Amino acid sequence: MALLTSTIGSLPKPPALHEARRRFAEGEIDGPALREVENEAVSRAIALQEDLGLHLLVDGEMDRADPICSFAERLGGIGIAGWVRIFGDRYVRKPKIVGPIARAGASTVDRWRFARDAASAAVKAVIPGPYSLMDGSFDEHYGSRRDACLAFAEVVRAEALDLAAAGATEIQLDEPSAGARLDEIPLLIEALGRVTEPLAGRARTWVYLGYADLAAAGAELAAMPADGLLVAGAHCAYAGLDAFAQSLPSARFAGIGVVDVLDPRVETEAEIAARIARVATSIPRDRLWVVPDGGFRAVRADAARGKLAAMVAAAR
Amino acid sequence: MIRSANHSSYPRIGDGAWDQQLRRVARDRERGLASDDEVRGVEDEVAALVVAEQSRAFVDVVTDGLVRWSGPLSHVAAGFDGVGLDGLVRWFETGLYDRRPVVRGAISRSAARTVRDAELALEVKPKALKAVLPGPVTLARVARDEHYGDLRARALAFAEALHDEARDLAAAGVRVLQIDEPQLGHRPEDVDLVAETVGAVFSGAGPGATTILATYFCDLSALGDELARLPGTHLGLDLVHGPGNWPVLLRLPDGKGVQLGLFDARTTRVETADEVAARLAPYREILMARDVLVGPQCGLELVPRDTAFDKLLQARYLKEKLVKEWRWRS
Repeated sequence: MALLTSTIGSLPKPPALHEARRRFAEGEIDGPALREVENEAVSRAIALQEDLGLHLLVDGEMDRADPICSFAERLGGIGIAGWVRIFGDRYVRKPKIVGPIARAGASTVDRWRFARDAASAAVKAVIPGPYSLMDGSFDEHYGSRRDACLAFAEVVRAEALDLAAAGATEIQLDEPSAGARLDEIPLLIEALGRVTEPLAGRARTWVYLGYADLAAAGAELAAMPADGLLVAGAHCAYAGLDAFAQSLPSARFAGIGVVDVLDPRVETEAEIAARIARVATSIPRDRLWVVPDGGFRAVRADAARGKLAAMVAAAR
Repeated sequence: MIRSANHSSYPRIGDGAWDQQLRRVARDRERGLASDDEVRGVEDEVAALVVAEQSRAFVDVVTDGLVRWSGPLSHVAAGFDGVGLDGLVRWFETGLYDRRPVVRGAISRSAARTVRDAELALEVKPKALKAVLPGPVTLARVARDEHYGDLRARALAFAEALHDEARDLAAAGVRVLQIDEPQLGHRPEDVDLVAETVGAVFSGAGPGATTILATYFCDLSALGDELARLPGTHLGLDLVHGPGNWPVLLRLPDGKGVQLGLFDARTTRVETADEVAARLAPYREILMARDVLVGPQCGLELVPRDTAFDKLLQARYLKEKLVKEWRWRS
């Protein structure tokens, strides 16, 4: 039985988009001109995924430098603190909360609509989750992680409802900070629930848990309130996956990473097939989705294509 | 005596285009447009700049910012024979990830890992340079073990390799050595193992060296008489995320120096020297009887560069304020 395939969010940005972003930053082109280049990149990202035969597509995050900051900076009460390292040579601009968090309007709906119109398969809308928005921001206003998290939950819920109203039937919430603090898992669940519960019956919800340590908290993380959970695993040979799988409610889907996006090498179809076979010993095949460990933002375009192609072939 | 000191890491990039050379060259390397040697050259430039930047804040004890480190554990661990790297692991409760070390064979050290970095930093002529190494027990706890099958054996093996690194750092002219054991507060049952292994590492630093056992992201309130067994001339305490460490100050062994982590290295709000001095006031008498370093509670790479600089500046102002108002010798 062929397994269902999707990807996490970002795909490599083409050189023309990097150049357009540079020119926009230096005032050489205006917003509509940049948007035109972004749209072209989104169309190519959709075409790539359809060529490869992925079942559930993404827009490739062509308009976002990173998912947390790009979403947060469009909110009221948020400033940008500066660049901070997150791993190796990877850096992000980190937001800071300087006042009450507020949302002026939908910030991702137009982008999702464009991608949907360019695709023949379903396109997943991807937005950051409230806990990771809180954990990924400096707080100079609330003084309470709980208050900041629940304030983010309000704006994420409004965004998700707008996406659903626009027709999005697959909505993914990125929570790469899940498991950062084990004592805050109840807060994570509460905040996510405020977003996913109103979507019940309107859209299938996914939560991406990033590189969460399943060996430390696999059972707790399996309880996230969503229709499907996505988590990395290829990078660590699936440490803790069994505990996670055993606690996964029977109606829930699981997308487990079988492509190591931190490895610049393109894995062979056989390697990925072996990983899928390992994962399938823990997750029943009828609830299993095959995905990469994370986004391809920092992967070379040819390598990303090769990795996804090997993944799709192995899933068949 | 009181001195201001950086803790360990310092942001490798800043917000201005001029301060992003390391990010750019790393990205070029990923695209096949820059070689490892070119990246190393930029790392050397940035490390020198980072030492100079800390000196410009008039911080007494600076580091090289750990600019060349791939992560808090992986950089040093991967330099040892018998150790490889595994998947990602979160650096405690921060947003920083590192590769998990994996022990695949007997741990040994055939080449220095950080000595060249220290030599280049010393060429910038800071007032004092502190070298930083990960602790053997934290390494042993976080690492996946395919060889020893025993925490103590693993920690002792890491300690032996780290001892050799400490010895070579001392030979290169480093007089201040810090060993990071953030794991200790989370696992106070490791105290005897920390005492044994970190003591072995410090023995490489040579007579007269300042040796700091740094703990952070935790407090040592669970330790009683064991505090006296902890090795080093100084004990590093996190007074931001380890509020239980304030009473520990009252129980420190006589003569033990202390490195006070007073500035929150995980927020952008910059504490002023005045507010930090007010917190220290009740402890004036016991602190003035010791050799004290003041600064951030952990590495500063968790905040943007401008914030990091401002926090070091306030650490310097704190020292100057206490020297003036408490008539403390600097």
